[in-house]
Amino acid sequence: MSTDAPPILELRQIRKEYMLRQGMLARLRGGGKPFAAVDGVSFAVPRGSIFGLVGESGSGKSTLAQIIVRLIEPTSGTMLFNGQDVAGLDRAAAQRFRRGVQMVFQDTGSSLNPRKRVRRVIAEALAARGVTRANAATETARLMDRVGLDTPMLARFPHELSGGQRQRVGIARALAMAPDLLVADEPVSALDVSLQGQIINLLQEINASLGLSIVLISHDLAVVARVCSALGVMSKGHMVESGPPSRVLVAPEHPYTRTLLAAVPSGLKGRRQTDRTLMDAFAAGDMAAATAPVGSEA
Amino acid sequence: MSGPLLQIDGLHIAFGSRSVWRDVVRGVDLRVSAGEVVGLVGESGSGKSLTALSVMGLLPLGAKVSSGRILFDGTELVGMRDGAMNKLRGRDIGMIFQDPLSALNPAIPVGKQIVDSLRTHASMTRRAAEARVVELLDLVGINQPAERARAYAHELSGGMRQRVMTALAVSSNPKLLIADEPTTALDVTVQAQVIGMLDRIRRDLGIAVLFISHNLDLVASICDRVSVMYAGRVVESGAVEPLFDAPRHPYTRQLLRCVPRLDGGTGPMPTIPGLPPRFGSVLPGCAFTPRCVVSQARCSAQAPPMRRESGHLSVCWEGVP
Repeated sequence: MSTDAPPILELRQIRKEYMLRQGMLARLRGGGKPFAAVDGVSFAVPRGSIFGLVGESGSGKSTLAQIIVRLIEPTSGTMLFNGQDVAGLDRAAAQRFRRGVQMVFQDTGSSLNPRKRVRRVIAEALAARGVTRANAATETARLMDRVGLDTPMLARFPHELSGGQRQRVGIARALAMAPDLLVADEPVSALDVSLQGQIINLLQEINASLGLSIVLISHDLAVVARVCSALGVMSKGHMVESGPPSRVLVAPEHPYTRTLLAAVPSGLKGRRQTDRTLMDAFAAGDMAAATAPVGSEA
Repeated sequence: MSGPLLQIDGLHIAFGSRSVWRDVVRGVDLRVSAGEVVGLVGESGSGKSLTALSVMGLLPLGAKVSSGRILFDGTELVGMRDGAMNKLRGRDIGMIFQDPLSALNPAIPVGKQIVDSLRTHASMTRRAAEARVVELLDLVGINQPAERARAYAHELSGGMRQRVMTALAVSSNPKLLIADEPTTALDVTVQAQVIGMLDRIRRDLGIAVLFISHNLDLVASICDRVSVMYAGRVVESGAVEPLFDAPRHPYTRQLLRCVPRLDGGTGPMPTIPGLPPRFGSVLPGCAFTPRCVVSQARCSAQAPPMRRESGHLSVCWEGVP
């Protein structure tokens, strides 16, 4: 791969508007006020990297994920996949794109069909990629090994698996398509803390060994800080700040990033130092005090 | 006052039907004194929520307290009649849940729900109750309380709903508030605000809190004491600072290492290998043995001893000759 290869994904001024319906009359007139869920977002994901998207509910990060996998189309803006504008793709190229970008969901309880055994979940994905039946068995075994599941699990239904195991199946299904880019939307937020690390480490391993590029969406700043080479902070549809975690999370420039960082409970350390005052500030609704740079108070 | 406000001794909770019952909470001891904030932490399936629900007499269908005592202010709650229990919950014990949207009635304005509670538990007149609702909503930090009282639950944001739940729970001046994962569904900035509000209110009103959470950092920042549960048992308990500073039980130590930290560096995240045991599986020794990094031969066979040093309890074979 040459060093000047285009990024695997590039978004330029992506905007997604939804019409706010304001009752019957406005609807009849065809009016309504547009609301921008994503407003002028630009960023690039270098090939083989992990890019983090952080923000709170309603910030637009999941809308962005849906745009990236083309579940929804942006109102305006350009998205380049592998240097190619995805809007102008013909049918065959669009299909290749869809195969090349896969998604891992937060809620494995609803993103896996409860009536299909693991074997079938993976077989269907392999069939969709065009893997012959003769090769499917070895490919399935390879995928199961890749995500750290034993082959007896193939006979299980999703409800017979733990949350962590279900997420591994979700990742295996995505990998079955041999994607170039994985979009993981809050993949560990439904898991217990002792299992989160297992899944995050698996994503890191896959990234390192297959060179698979990953967009990791998470509200957990610490997770993103650990695994991403760059991240973007979303707030109210805007990307307010982006860069490597060593800068964004250590020396944040935007007040919203500072608020987000300050709100993370910091355990004993916080108990001894500033949590009380921080909480009081939050409780009083005094966000300005809570987000003031450290050391500014007397 | 003599004795703790809430005292749970040897609590066992079983799931089952007719002849087959399996214990999922297996001998929990817990104490909450007046005005104290006690944290109960553990992963899903550890039995922390069942323990809390049993205090309220709200165990799900198919679950029952199979043995043990729950004393509230000296009164035995296990086996208490529904009528007496109804008087206690909502009046002396308030509870807030993880999901306020399903805990609040969607068809009744939130203010009316608090009015109903006040008229039932505090025997207030409608007029007095309505005035009190506005005070309560103001107390939990809701702007324009009179207008908000007329709103329905779905018209409020998640943080606002949790504030309403809190107003409802503290409306009758309870002695104990049970908060079951009250901020798990909230964004971190809203979480910080709701926790700040809870902390202020329980200080102002002098309410004891049993705070159930899987978030160790949150527990460390607001609780006085903490009990750590694994597979239906308390494996470690003590005052927050010594427990988090020098955790004694291997599970607590391994769990604390797993908590992602902003200054945690890069590379693979620390994990606990394996999975928690499935519900109701019978384990003769310590349930954590298969995942424990310091387990010995006797751990899986023999129940570990309870050891207490200056109020810090650990249930483990480690360091026992």
